[in-house]
Amino acid sequence: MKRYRLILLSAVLSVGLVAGACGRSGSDSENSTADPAKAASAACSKTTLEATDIGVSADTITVEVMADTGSALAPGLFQGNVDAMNAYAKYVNANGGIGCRQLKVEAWDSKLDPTESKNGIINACKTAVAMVGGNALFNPDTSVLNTCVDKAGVATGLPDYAALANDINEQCAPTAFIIQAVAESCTTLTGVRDLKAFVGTFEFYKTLAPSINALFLVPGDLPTTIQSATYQIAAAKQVGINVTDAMKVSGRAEQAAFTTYVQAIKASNDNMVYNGSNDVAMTKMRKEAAAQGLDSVKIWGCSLACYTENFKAQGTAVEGTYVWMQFLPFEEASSNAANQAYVTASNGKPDAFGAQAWQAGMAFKATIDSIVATKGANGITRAAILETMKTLKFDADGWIGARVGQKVFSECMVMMQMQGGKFIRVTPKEVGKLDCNPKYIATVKIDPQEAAKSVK
Amino acid sequence: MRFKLNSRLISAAVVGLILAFVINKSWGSASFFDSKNISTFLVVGVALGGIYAITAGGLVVTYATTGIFNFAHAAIGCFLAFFYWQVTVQWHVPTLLGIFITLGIVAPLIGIGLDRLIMRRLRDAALVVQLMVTVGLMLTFMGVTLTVWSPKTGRTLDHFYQQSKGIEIGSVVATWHRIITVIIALVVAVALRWLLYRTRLGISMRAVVDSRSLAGLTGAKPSIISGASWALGCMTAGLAGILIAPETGLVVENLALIIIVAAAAAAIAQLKSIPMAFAGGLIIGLATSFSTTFLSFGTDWNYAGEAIPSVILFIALLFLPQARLETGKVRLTKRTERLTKPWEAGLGGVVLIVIVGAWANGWIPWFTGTTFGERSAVWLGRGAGFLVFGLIMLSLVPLIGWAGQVSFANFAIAGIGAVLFSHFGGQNGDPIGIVLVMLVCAPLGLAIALPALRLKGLYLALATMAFAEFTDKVIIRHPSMLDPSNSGVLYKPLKILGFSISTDTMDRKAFVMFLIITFASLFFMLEMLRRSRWARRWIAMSDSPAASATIGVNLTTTKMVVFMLSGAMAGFAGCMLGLQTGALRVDSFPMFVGLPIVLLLAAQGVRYPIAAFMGAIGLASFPAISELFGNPTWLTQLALVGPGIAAIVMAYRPEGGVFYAGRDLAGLLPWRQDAREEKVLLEAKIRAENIGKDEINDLGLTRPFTAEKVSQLDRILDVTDALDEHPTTPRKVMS
Amino acid sequence: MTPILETKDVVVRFGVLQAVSRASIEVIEGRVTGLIGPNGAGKTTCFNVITGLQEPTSGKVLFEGQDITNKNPYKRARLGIARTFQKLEVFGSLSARENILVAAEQRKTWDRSGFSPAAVCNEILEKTGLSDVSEFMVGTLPTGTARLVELARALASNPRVLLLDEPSSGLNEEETADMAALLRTFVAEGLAVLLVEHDMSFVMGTCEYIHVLDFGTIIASGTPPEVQANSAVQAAYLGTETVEEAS
Repeated sequence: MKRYRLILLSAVLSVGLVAGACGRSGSDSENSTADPAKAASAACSKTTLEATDIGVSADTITVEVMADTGSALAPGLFQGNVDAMNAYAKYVNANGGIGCRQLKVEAWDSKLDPTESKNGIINACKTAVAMVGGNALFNPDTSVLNTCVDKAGVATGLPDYAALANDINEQCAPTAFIIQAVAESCTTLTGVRDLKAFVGTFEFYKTLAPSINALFLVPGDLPTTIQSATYQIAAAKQVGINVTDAMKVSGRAEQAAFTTYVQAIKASNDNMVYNGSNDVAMTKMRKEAAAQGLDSVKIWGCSLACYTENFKAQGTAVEGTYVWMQFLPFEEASSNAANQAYVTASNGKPDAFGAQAWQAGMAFKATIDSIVATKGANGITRAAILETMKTLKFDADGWIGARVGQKVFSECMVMMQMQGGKFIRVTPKEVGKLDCNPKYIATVKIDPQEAAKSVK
Repeated sequence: MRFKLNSRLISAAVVGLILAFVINKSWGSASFFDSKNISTFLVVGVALGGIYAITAGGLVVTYATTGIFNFAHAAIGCFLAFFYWQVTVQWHVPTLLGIFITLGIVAPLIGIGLDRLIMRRLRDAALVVQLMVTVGLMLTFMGVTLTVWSPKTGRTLDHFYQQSKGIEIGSVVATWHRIITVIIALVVAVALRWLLYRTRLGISMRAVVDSRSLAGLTGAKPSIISGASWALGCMTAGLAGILIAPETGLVVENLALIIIVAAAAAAIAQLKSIPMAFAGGLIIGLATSFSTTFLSFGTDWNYAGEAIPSVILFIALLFLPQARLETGKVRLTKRTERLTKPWEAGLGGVVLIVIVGAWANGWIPWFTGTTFGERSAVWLGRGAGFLVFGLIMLSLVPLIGWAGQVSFANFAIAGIGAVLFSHFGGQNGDPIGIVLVMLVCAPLGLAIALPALRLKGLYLALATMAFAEFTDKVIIRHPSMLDPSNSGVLYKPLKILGFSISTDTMDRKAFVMFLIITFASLFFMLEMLRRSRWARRWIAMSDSPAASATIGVNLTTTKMVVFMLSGAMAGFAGCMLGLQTGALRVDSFPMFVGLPIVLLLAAQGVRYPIAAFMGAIGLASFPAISELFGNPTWLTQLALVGPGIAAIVMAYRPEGGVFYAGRDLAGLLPWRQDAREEKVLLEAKIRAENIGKDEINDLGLTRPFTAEKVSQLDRILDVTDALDEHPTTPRKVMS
Repeated sequence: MTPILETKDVVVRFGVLQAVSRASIEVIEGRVTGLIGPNGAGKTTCFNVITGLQEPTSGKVLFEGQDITNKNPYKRARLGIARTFQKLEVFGSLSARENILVAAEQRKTWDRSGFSPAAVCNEILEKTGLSDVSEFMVGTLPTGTARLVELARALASNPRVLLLDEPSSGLNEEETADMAALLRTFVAEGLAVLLVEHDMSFVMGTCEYIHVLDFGTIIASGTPPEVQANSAVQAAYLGTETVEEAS
């Protein structure tokens, strides 16, 4: 009940999913994390395990997953994160444990509420060694992440392996390790600044038509969501897409209101529509275009927000919509062990949030493995985790592009298309491959608040 | 009053000028003289208008036939739309049969059930009880729908005749579904108008609203008639839901919150004219479409477009004719009211401080350790939040409880207060800012009420709801109120009496203590106020505005005082709300969040200051219960359904929990014979009333129903109000 | 004698229905004036016009010769016009004492004579015999007692003109007699009373002058015997009687 669910969906999906993680193809990544893991299990046998820090006892390692799940208007919104983390703990414990111990996951419902989000961090600070796999949309007060006191009474801070950090304060928190990476450089958060945007998608769309006139549908429920769309638009222009219009859209609006967008498309003869809002908005847009007999649009593009079962269920109405992602899709889980492990554990109901939570769990385990390999099983402390995450090399066993450090802007993508009620890979052609290219990352220099003024 | 025409002309001119200015200032790039733009504007506007009109029509019908403004109208429609989806899409029942099952069977059953269980008890209830119960129903229907049909699953309802192309108008296609919606809205408006004015059933329905004994004349049983009215209301709600769902998507809040738009359209119709409700829906649809087609509000006022329905509601209120002074409607549940003595109020305040202080320090056994103590910082933070809500509730006691002015705006005022505090001193931890905020919020509380001061109480409730919506969409979102790029914590800890008060872990206990001390002080102040002539005057005004005026009470200034007091208190609560939240976002204060606050206060007893404390405990109980059960998913909807049910219970317990608990507990004391007598008396009174109702029910069954009677009734219904004589009551005549 | 209160050609129209047409009524100090007429004749509407609760379509209301037609109800109350209602309009959730106290305190805002509201309140409770029930919430009192509270409340604002709308309705014979006696004592002190009443014996026994209203028009005015002898009045009342039998 705390907030409107629609705001959330579009907010999340627009802000967070701009980026992903870097990587190479899935096949040749085996050795990056495997070695520390083996070393770790070897180290276990010769140590008497101790309780080394808050959340690390002799036999368990406790982490907290904080996600918005119990808000009355959006029940189960990010339940995927919690389910994935619980499934991940089961999976890890069945496969040798973590840091010579069992992994225990505590769930915290942040209820789309800043106060409960802060409470979640306070709780984690007292009971868990780290926060892992979280996705709390409204998490503006992250001070406790920095000031959290460890077992020795030192304010080391609390490691936060977030699946997705929507709030700029969490994005830029020094103890955060974020799967879905961050466009901000975090040096300054206001005014004209360098911002990263992914343009691999636009490069692909350019191969579909000789010249592109595009309408951008900007998630309009919050000023912040509009602003984050502006760097994508600026980047699209930078690579030669003619953005004829950028208009606010809301999944809440009646479909009739989408006639206005159709008229705008007709007026500027657009051949592409890119939706940065959620799957509901995209569905209404497609249905209204059909009702109005619009046939000039050749490219319907949507963010990861459309990679949902709900969208698939719309069938022919959304046929042909392109959706892109920065991890190997669930449809080809068999090509990647980590992906397969998640899809299996999710009981056939994988979702993008859960996948990122699982990846965050893997990143956490990679950190612990690395600590055990260097400092032994009794070296697992928050301080050690924070130290290790800074330079952690990680690619989720090839599920995502390889990355180093806490916050990385991925240069990889997979482009999928709705065909006959299914998501079908269109590029790169080869199953199990990510298309990675440094050129796919553009840097734009804008003041998003100023730029937001041109959004209608 | 002689200048009524003139003053209306003046307001029309002023509104016209302001509109012209806004339109001129925000004119976008689209040309008005381009036929494409015009056709887009019209086709979209009429399509949207049809959606709003059909909901507004049902709302007005329900009001006209039951006398109750049903906030749950759209939520019921939402439930029925989901049910229709279940039947036709999940169970593959053919469309027409599905429509019949939904509208012909389930909707009337819901209506009759509502009438039997709840609505019948609301007929003579105070406005605040009527409003709270239907708002509670709205939350409950939403919660139930969300529980039965999890929003995680994708659902679609196809448009009718989705495959065939509609009619092309200009460069825009009007789809068949939309044409059908508009036509059905129109047909329903005409048919309902005919039903209410030209048929025996309809006239009986309207007569029942006016007076039960009057209805006897029509030859109808009031109990059957009111059941029929609710059945009809639910059918119109369901019809609207089925037609709207394909446009909005099967999303609970999209469907249920159309009530705000529908309320604006209903206000245009003065809550009684169904054709005008249709027109009102069209006006709002066209205005919305006009703004999206031609206007561009710029980033500072980016969300102004979403506030169009609330602005239209405000404008409609300006042009409503002055209501005649309302006459009294008091249902009593007690014989005497003992005013709290100063020492009792003081003791009460101390007890509150002791209880909360003991809890905050972990001295209450069960509330320590692993239950609500292990994470004491967490629960202290929540406790501060509940106490802040308690303060908002306290600000409503004189306003709603005593003066009878039902307002949903105080949470919005608190929101504005919170934001202002981040400019006026909160950013430096300066307590003087609190005073400044209160000084701003007092006249603000008044300004909200101004357009509705001269109108019926229900319009005030609508106006405050519109204001809450406007605050959320326009005021808070202005960058100079809340800068979206300033996303962190906006406040420094407040230093008072050596305490450091903030939401930081270390400051939370001090914060809770500070809040309970201020809460107890305000509680004491209100109890003293209740003994004063101000509170007496407010209660008198609420009990009978007409009689108050005739003993010399200037209703306008009297109302203004209470609105300012309440606004100032809400402003104070707002400062605390800001401190407690720390970081604010533009969407931190949606209208929706304010509802449970009012609901829970009312359920506890809106006339009693202590109910604010109990209401805060009530708010706290939902997460506490959920946590005790280990936060299961089946309890997710508790935050919606909990306050909803609590409010619905008011149909049975209109005075609120505090009153009944106080009386029953006092009755257990051997020396409180008076409390026991009180209870017996009340029960006898209710029995007598029920017998009276049954007699009325038996009336009129054999009466002839002539055209003459119909026209007489019609005249009465149109022209009389409660102040006029009842020409139907037999009288002794000259001997 | 100049009337303290008079209406001149008052017309009230609700849509097509003319509730009051060109009614002129005079109220004189120290006298009980009656306003009678069949149901729906427009008596209560006249009261509403005089107290400002109903705006007349045309016509004037004069108080001491001064035009008060456009004055707010509360301003008229401050001039000294008080009333009771046909359908009880007490402050039901206040005690009887508080009902009277509110009015007495309100009087403070315009009456600077330095009286004590509490003392006034006690005095009136005494006079009206309400002392025993002074702490009960008025909404729970029997109708007869509540009518007395309404009257007491009206008196608390120290009116010069008192408008009573069917004061005897809901009262038994004994109570009616008490009410009549009470009225006479106030009138003796110089109060002007305008009375709407159906109980003819009460009217004839109490009023010194009577206006008869039928279908919104004053059809007769005069002393009780004059009015009783008037044929138009008899016709009007007989007419209603048949209607009632039919209903």
